[in-house]
Parts: sequence; C-alpha cells; structure tokens
Amino acid sequence: MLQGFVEWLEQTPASLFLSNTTDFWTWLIIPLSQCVHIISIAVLLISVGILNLRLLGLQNSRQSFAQLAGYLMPWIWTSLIVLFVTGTLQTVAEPGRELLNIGFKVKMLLLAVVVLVTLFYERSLRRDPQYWEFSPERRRMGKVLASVSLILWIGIATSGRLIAYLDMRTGDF
Amino acid sequence: MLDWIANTDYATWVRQSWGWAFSLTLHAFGNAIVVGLIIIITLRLLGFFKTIPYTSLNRLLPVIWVGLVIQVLSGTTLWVSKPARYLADGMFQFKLFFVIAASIVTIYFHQILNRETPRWQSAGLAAVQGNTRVWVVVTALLWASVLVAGRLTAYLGQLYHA
Repeated sequence: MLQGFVEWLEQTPASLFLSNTTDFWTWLIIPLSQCVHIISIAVLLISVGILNLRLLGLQNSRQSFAQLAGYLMPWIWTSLIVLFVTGTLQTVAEPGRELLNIGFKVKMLLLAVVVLVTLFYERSLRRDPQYWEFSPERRRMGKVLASVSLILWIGIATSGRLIAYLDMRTGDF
Repeated sequence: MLDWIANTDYATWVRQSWGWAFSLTLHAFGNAIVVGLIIIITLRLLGFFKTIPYTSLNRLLPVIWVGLVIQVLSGTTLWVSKPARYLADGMFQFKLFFVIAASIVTIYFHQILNRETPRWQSAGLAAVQGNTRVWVVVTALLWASVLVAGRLTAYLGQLYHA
C-alpha cells in the first residue's frame, strides 16, 4: 500500500519538477532545503535540551520553569513547523528514499510520541504554572519525562541522520 | 603521509564499521550545539524574544566551544577515512575556510558579550545597535556558511562519483 503511494507520488508534477537534475538551480532546491532542515534541528535540539535539562535539575536559572517554557515553546513549535515543511519538500522530491526507509519510519514514530509529550508540558503549565515544581513527586515525574524526551529527541536526530545509510549493504562508506 | 593516515587502524575501522555512522551522528549533534546556540543568541541580540535577559546569554557561550571541540574530534574522525579526497575537494576547502573565519569572529563575539551584556541589560536595550549588530549578523552568517558548505560536500566537488 505504501509502495503504491510512493509510486503515485513519484509521478506527481511536484515530484517530477523537484527531481529534475538537469537544471542546476532546480537541483539545488533539495540540498538547500536540507540546510534549512539542519539549521532548524539545531535550534530545536538546543531548545528542548535546555527545557529538559531544567526539569532534570541540571540547568539553573532564576526564572520559573513556566517562564523558561514560555521563552522556549515558540522556538520549539516554529522549528518543528519549518522541519515539517522542509521534510515534506524533501519527501515529495524523493518519495521512496524516505517513505520506504526504516530510519524514516522510526523517526516519525518517535516524533509522534515526543510531540505528545511536548503538548503535555504546555497544557499542564497552562492549567497550573507550578505544575512541575509543586511537590517532590511532581519533580520526580518531571525528571522521568525529561529523560524520556531527551532519549526520544536523540533517537529522532540519529535515525534521521542514518536514513542515508540504512539502505546500504556492506562495503566502505 | 595522507595515505599513511588513511591506512591506520583507526581510519580503517571508521571506513569499514559503525565508526563512520557514529561520528557522523555526533557531528550532527555538535552542529546543533554550535549553530543552534549561535542562532538563538543572534536572534535575541537582534531583538526577538525580548524577555530573555542579555546576561543569561553569557552562560551559553562556553557551551559553543564545547560543541566546537566535538566537531573537531568527530570531523577529524570522518576526515581520516579519506584524507586526500577531502583535502582536494573544493567545497570542503570552502567549509574549512569558514570554520576558521567563524571561530576567530566568535572569539571576538564572546569577548564583546562578556563585556557588554550587563550594560545592555541595565540600559533596557531592545536590540543591539550599530557595529555590534553587524558583527552579530556576520558571526551567524559565517556559521551558516559552514553548515551549508558541509552539506554541499556530499553533492558538489570530488568526494563522490557523480
């Protein structure tokens, strides 16, 4: 079924346009999209890194967790949107390379989970800004969730990076 | 000498086992640290997210240097797998040039921030002005150039067969 979707997508005008490698400027679109993708990853990883390190008690700042999250959530959501747009562009250009790749599938699964966790952070803080600092039990829960989030984010970046290598057989890189 | 480097046990291991994928992944995270922090600092200094105190940016700068060390170590590991081909590649030469230029400018940038952030904070400045603004943008563009040149080494130049 996925194979059928890939074959359909490969024939759409958008995909054919983007995968036309004879014109240099058209060909450059995807590498440049990847650069924007990488820059957004950088901003995203730093933001979620700071947020989760704070929950783990490894980052100290004078602001409350709610205030820190207030600064960081716009960065997080904006970079996720940019990643989605550039990612879609890249997938439309080479549908099989992404959609039939185990690294990509793992990445999307982990992403779905971590987005839910991030939404949970936001929602809990909106209901109660002290939610994560309220009691020792809450702080412990925060540490667990932060550890899980960091592992998920690292997993997402790693599986994304390895997409290019997971179709390879043996031999030198 | 480059052949000798390429034939060391380390280089051979990188080329033929998980060393390459691991170093490349580390290089991606190091890149997130360096470029990510530079972008966040740059955007704050240009007036976005005004509620972040300038003085809190000072704590991020040492982390950039840690990121750079990660990049040099992982980058060298990647390089030893094909040293001569990398050095002959125009896009890679471009990237190294930008790494050196960006690092020098970032040292200067670090000193400016250490010195000026308390003053900017107490003056309630919305964004940095004048020459400082130019340096801030230049620093960000230099690191962005490193990133773009690095990405394009996979596509242009001598590294891979067309």
